[in-house]
Amino acid sequence: MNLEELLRESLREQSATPPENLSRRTELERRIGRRRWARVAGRSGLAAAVAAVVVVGTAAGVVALRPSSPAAHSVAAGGPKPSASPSPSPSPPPLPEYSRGYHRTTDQRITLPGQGSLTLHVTPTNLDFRIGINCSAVRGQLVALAVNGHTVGTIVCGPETNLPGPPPPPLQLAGPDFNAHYDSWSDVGVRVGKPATFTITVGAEVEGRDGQEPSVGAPGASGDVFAGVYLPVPFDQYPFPTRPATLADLDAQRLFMMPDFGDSLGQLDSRSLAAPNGSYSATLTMPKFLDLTVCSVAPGRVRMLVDGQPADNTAFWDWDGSCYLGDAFASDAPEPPSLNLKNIHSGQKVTVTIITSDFTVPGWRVGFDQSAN
Amino acid sequence: VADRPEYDSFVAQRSPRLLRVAYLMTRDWATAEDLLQTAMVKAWFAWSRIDGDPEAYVRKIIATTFTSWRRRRWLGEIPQDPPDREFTADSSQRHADRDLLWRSLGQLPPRQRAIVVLRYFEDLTESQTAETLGVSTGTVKSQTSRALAKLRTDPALNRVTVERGELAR
Repeated sequence: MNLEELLRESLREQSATPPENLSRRTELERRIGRRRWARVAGRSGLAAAVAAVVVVGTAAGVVALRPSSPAAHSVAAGGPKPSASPSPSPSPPPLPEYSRGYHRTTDQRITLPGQGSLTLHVTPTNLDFRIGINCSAVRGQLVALAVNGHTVGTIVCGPETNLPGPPPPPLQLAGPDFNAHYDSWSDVGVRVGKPATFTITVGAEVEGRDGQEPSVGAPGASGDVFAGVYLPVPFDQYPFPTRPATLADLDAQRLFMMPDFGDSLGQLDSRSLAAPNGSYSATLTMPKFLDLTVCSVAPGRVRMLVDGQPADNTAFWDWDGSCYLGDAFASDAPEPPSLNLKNIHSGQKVTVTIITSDFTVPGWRVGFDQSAN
Repeated sequence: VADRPEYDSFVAQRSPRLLRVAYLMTRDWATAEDLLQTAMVKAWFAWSRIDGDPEAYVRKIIATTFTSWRRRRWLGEIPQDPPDREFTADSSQRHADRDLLWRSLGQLPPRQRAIVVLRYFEDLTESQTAETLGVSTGTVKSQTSRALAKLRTDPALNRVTVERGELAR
């Protein structure tokens, strides 16, 4: 018997009966939508604790070190304290001092096309920090974020006008999940107590060949790009902005690039509940991958549980209106067991509990949906 | 997706075969589906730029994504023992050999496993395999040789072949 012949037989036989997947096209649509979203908008997570980080900023070439921007926030201890503010807000600074639960500790600017990159040296004491990037002035250029020479992800500057939905915010708070490739800074070699060098490179997008990620070429635009290090702030210490006279339209909020709200399995809406804060439940059939889309037009915190098990949580830090995509994996989902719910299998009835706090108005809603992953 | 009918058609027609390729690399159907969809999503974004056979393009993404996945994420791969079989007839024996070989394949490093799948399931030439994986033809030759050598010396497989004096080189 010939080994190569046996190999061919074994490979044919072992793969002869693939399971049928009738929903592949639908799943691809969702993943394409998600990838667009992740690629263009980035993804910000919830800050749970204060990080003390030693930060020293240096830039390639001559870089102007900008002073901290004037605070557009008023410090309010004990949660958001709404107050009417009929006058329009001034344009936000390129790198606001506070944004989405984070506080900027340092920032830098480079000017294209003369300067194409900058570096930030960080010695973290924990791994909850973010790299803030605002490159909205060089629309269409590609930004690559690398740490210790390892690319974490890329993002296209400025909104893509041909895409539906609201544009992404100018400030991107990039974490290790920047392009959904990594879960933790430790996945790319960042260690607590050890200096790490973050490099932000900006230039024309060079298409990746054969499915590889795109790369950054020579700058092809003129304008300023800003980057800084952002540390998380506990919710009860965050200086929330004042409430606007008119709230944003909750029904108009969508995850960026998602075609709909994402509530095929049901939803909970604070406007139809007794109070904005409390514990509310819905019963549904658990899919392998449960999407929990939370949209809010007010500051507040949201916890999500499935049959009593913590699934996800998030917080909203301003009145602009935004959405968060949380998820919960059934026990039989093809994910690392540590990420899955315990003893909750797809197909069984589950109770999803949404616990909200610190909302001063009924300004949130949660949609339940299933996804491919 | 709806605005790219050729892509839709490609997904419908070629997914089954490409899923098998992904499965032979990952050894888990759910992971293979994930890998296939990952590759198909990348292909969607690159669809207008694909010059030539899209299947070769997607196959390449599957292979390179698989090898890079192994470096950066847990795949949930669970080694599966071959089922117990009665070794009473030649056909059963051959079946058992294939099972043992399948298990031995699971011990190969990702790149070698990918090369074996591309060479012996997809029947690609050495140069096509090299192009697919983005490596040199020499690398394909050396990695194929090492993979076959490992399979021949796998204790489980070797025990059977030595006892029966089979597996010609």
